[in-house]
Amino acid sequence: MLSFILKRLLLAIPSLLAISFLVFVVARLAPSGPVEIIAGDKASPAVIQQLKHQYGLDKPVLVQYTDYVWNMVRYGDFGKSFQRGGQSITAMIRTDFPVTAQLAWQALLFAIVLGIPIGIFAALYHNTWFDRLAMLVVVALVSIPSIVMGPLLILVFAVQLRWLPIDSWTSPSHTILPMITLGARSAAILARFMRSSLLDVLRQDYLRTAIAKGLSRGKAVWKHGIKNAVIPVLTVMGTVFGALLSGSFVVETIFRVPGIGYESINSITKRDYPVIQGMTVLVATLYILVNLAIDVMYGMVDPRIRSQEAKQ
Amino acid sequence: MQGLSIFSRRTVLLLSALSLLALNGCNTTNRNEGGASTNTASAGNVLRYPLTTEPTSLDPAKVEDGTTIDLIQQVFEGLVIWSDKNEITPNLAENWDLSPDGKTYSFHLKKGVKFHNGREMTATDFKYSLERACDPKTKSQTVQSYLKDIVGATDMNLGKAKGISGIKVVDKYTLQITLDGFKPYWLGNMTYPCAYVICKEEVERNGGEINESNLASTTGTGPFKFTEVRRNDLIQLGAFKEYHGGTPKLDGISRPIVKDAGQRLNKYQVGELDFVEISPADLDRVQGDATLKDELKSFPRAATWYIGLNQEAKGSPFTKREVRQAIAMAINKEEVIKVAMKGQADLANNVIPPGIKGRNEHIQPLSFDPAKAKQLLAQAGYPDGKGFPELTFSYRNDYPQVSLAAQVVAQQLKTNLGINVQQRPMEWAQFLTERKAKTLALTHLRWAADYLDPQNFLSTLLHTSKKVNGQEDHPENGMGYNNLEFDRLCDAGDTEKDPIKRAEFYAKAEQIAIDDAPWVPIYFQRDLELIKPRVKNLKDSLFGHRPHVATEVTP
Repeated sequence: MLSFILKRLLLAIPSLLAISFLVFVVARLAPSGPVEIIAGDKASPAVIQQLKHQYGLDKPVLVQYTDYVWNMVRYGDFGKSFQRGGQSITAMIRTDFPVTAQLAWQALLFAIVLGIPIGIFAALYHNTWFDRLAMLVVVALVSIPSIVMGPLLILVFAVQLRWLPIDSWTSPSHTILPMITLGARSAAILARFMRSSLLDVLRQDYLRTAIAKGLSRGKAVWKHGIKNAVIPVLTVMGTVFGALLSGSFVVETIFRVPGIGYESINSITKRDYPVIQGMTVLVATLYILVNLAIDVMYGMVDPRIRSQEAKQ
Repeated sequence: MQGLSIFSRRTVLLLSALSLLALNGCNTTNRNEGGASTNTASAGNVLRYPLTTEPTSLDPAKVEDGTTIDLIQQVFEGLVIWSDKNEITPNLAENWDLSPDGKTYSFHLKKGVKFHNGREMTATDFKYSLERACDPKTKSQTVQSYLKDIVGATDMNLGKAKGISGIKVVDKYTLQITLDGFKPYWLGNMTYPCAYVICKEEVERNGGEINESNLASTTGTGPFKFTEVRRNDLIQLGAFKEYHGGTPKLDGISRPIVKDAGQRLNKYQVGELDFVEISPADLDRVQGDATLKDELKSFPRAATWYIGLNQEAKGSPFTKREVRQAIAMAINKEEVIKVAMKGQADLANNVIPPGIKGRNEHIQPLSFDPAKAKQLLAQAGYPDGKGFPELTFSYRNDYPQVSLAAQVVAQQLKTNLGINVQQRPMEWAQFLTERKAKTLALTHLRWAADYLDPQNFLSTLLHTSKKVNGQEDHPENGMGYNNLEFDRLCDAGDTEKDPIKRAEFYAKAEQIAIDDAPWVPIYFQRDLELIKPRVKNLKDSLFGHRPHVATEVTP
């Protein structure tokens, strides 16, 4: 297991290098640059040239990239923002990442609490009105983009009913609407997976045998059905969490959640290259780690996979 | 047993998730400690209004945009300030003398002015502040525009000198600044943030930087000081009790950073904000609401929105005066204002907005006259628009009213002149880059005054630009406009000591600029704001609200 993890971590290095290089180049391909934005509409070309020199942006892109990677390797340093009074990106990540992580955890919990029971009951009451209604809701949740759902929830619960705050991230009540907006889609995905997985299990021989041996249907479903049906859902949950962690850009922007998504969007509009690079590398690392964690967890959960690995 | 182990592991996972959540939950509550909440319940004696963008910097030397200027002018101050009558008035300088040659200002500083850390501000601090702003290490993008007239400032900014030779500390309370020529409009530059005074020891303790990672570095002399800066979230200011102009009436100012206009209006409606700027696009929502309608106010600003006709762009048809005049007379400004601004702007026949002394109050405009416009276009060789090159109309894409105005103008040119216009909404940064390269032929843009003087409109924007030592001497003339008589009148106005004669020069120059139509002024900007009745005594100048020294809120 340890060698498996090590191997995967080593494989992550070239991926991260490739990603960082891509972002580095793509960010610079976007029209206009940070200096033009910092300088504003009244600066002369001479001032812009001078600022470019001061920020080291007049060097060839490859030289800039090598400097960047070297600083990362040598000092473990993502560099400094061009704006924000030259704040260090490591410091920015330190304050932003916990916020994004909290939002992702909450959204995942919300998705589990809402999605799993819906999936279970839809499977148990397969083809009844409940099943159909549940699947209708699920399709709706999957199809409504957060950029629509967020403002709708705000209008209803914050502006009209005034039960919840509009935006910001200062108290637990502030986290409710972003959590729902971010988690809704995942809840729907989990519900669908739980339903189809449980339907599959319900048709298995071992379940029929358990009932034939005299176990009540309820007990059989609970002890043997759901337990086995949850395994594939667990994998999906991992992927969902990875997506939640890296996919809260829109939700964070709508609700002004000061996490890495919001910061990334801001830095993109300002062409704050070091921040764009730092945040992307961070998100990519997280994604790789979450995927690794899923693989490891999968082995822990399903002994069949673990034994296969052992044999290999 | 095998099945059970699955469940216990799952439970473990869930429990660890929950505990992490709880831990993070603590973080959330920590973030809120020590700062006034943005909720209505605890509004108290705090003025709450949003920042529409993240402040670009807290360093006065680097601040360029109006939003951030409004923020830092509460904290830092300069020698002089614009009054609510739009005149230069003393601030940290009590008064000043001008030498007979008009080149040397001696500022007599107010005595007993304290920095937020309690130390007295003196002339040395001003010398340090201006020199730090010009130091290339500071990376200021504004000093070249606002401090370049001071002898030696450019040399220092280019790294050729260690200090500014034109700035002398005569004694503790006297600061002498020498200019490279007589410039009657120059004091306006001293209202700009790069001329604000900063506190040497606090800045040096922060490695020469002024930023949010060490709020002590933002020590100024202003009526408020930064108490909390939460990136992407909220900025809080607290009153400075020992302010030289008297203790502010407010306990503090709370500035949540809310970029979305719809969200700002939502927050205002539920009472989380005391005032909020709105865009014309929101006027329908506001005017349909009885309460909001009464709270709507509008403020004139020193900014002109115009249609730029660039003669330097490749293949530009605007080199012909008749073509420019035809365009000017084919635009129905009233309709543009009605559609794009919902009537909330002042029609512009001048280059210079109202309220600026020396503006030509008897201008003869090129009025809307489609028949005359058609005739002029025919004279230029394009009868009914035939043979006229297709134009690309470039403008920034982040304000709906700008796009709307451009669409109306394009439609008018098509209907009245038979000219085809391609719309090209652009990202702001991209627009700036191309505008500076002077490749955009037809643009819709505004000029916002740096200081209230005809020079800042006429000479700065439209004087012929020549290359001097490889640099344009009038880089803001983005239209390639050149008229020797206009240049002569501007030069005369720029150096005339008698204010009445000066005004006469500029009045003549402005009439020439209107007749030649290098650009077509459309409207003078008004800021639309919703203001809660609890806000009292808000002071305003053409640049925006003045520092909130006298502003009050009823709790």
